Order: sequence, then structure tokens, then C-alpha cells
Amino acid sequence: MLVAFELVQSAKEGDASAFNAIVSAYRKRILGTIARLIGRPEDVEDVAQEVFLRLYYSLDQLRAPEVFEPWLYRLTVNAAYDYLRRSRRRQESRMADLSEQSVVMADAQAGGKRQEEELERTRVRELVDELLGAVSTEDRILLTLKEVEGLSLKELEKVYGVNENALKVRLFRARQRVLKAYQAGRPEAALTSAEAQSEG
Amino acid sequence: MPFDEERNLDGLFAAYREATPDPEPSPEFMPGLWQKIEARRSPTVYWRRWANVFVTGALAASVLLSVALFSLSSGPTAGFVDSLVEDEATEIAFVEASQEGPAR
Repeated sequence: MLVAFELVQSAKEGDASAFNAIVSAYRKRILGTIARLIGRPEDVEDVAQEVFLRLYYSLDQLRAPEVFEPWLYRLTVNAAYDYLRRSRRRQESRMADLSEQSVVMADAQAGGKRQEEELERTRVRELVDELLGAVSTEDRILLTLKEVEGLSLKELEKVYGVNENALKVRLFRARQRVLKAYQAGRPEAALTSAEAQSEG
Repeated sequence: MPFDEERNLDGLFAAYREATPDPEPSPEFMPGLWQKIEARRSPTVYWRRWANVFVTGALAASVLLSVALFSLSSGPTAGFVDSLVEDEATEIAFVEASQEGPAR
């Protein structure tokens, strides 16, 4: 826990400064998780505000301060899920943004090593985004939480409210579907460089 | 090979984690959040107030209705009992009269 239980209790009782303290403690982590869940930097802050807005209006339903973090993660997952469902309907505008990103990347190619690294990171982000975009929103979120965010099965159990075995099955199937998308159309070079980056 | 692909996928996810660090919140984050909270609060308060008025009204109406129903239902029941008693008295008088009749 990043904050004391008493602070959560105070926020639950309507203390605005306690709520502010909670937001300040968690916002960076939530922003990061959302950034990796949705893969669209320009909308991250908006979705994070939605998470804290939902937190504000649902704090009175929180049974015990001990379950605060899974509760916050659940709100994050729900907000990301809603966003991804909405944005899938706006697929065309996403394609336009991607081509804009390519222009930025091309501009960056003129620069030095740092720009090269940034270019590499952009390529990894795009590749993973593409792979996760090939599976369902549910698979995307579950895999990101487990494989990228590093949440344990026990933590996921609390977030999803389902038992470990059911989660294992879901994870296995989601991973198989991503692997299938990976085999179907991945660019070899991008994978090799991604591996090298993770090892180095 | 499947094992290699599994390993590659793990590597790719790890690279993705590194390539997407936690972003710093902008200075507008907190004011923007409170603006959204306030914007949602106004209609909520309005609807909650109306919901309270509605619930109170419905409660009062149901109490009045129950009282009215109770007073209506208690009337006929008393009448029915009275008529039963009356019938019984008439019947007894008839039996008694018929029993007394042949003796004379």
C-alpha cells in the first residue's frame, strides 16, 4: 500500500484532502498502467482522471481499506476496458494517428543514438500494440496486467474476483491467441531487436 | 520452435514495459479531476434531491393507502359477522318454535 489505511478511511468519510493525498500517491502508477493498457499516450491522462472520478464516487462502497489496491486496479481495468471498446469503434482515426507517428519517426531518423533508441522504443510499442490489438479487449487487459505490469496470480484473483485456476486457463488461452497473431505477421527484425533490448 | 516463440514473446513484453515508463502527470491533472468531480456532482445532487422527494411522497401515499384499505376492509367484515349472528339467532328461534309447536 502506498498510503495508510486511515487515509483511505478518511477519504471514504468524505475528507477531500485525504482523497487528494491518495490521488497524489497513486496517480503516477495508474498513469503508467493505463499507458501500457491502452497504448495511446494522448488519452492516458483522461482515462486516469476517469479512474479517480469513479474512485471518488464509489469509495463509500469499499468494504475495508485493506482491499483498496485491488479495488483501484479493478476501476483502472474497467476504465481502460471502456476506453478500448470505444476506441475500437474509432479504428480509422487510429490509423491516421499511426501514419502521423511514422512521420515523427522518420524525422527522428536524422538524429543521433538517443533518437535511435527512441525510435526502437516506438517500434516495440507499436509492435506490442499491434499484437495486443489482434486479440480481444479482455485478453489484452489480462495479458498486460500479468506479463507487462507483473501482477501475480493472487493479485489478479482479487482484481477479477475469480479463482486462480480459472485465471490460469484464461491466461493460457490469451497467450496462445497472441502467439498466433505473432506467428501470423510479426516482422522478424523488430522481434530480434526487442529481445536484444530486454536482455541488455 | 514453440519454446523460442514463448521466450520471444516474454522478451517482447519486457521490452514493452521498458519502452513505456510511467508518465509524469501534467499540472492540470488535479484541477481537471476536481472539475470532473464537480461536474458530475451537480446532476447527482439534483437527482438525489428529487429521488428523496419522490421516495417520501411514495411512502406517505402507501401509508395513506394502507390506512384507507384497512378501514374499508374492517367495515364489511364486521357487517358479515353481525349478519351471521343475526342469522344464527333467527335460525335458533325457528328451531325453538318448531320444537315447541307439536307439543301444544
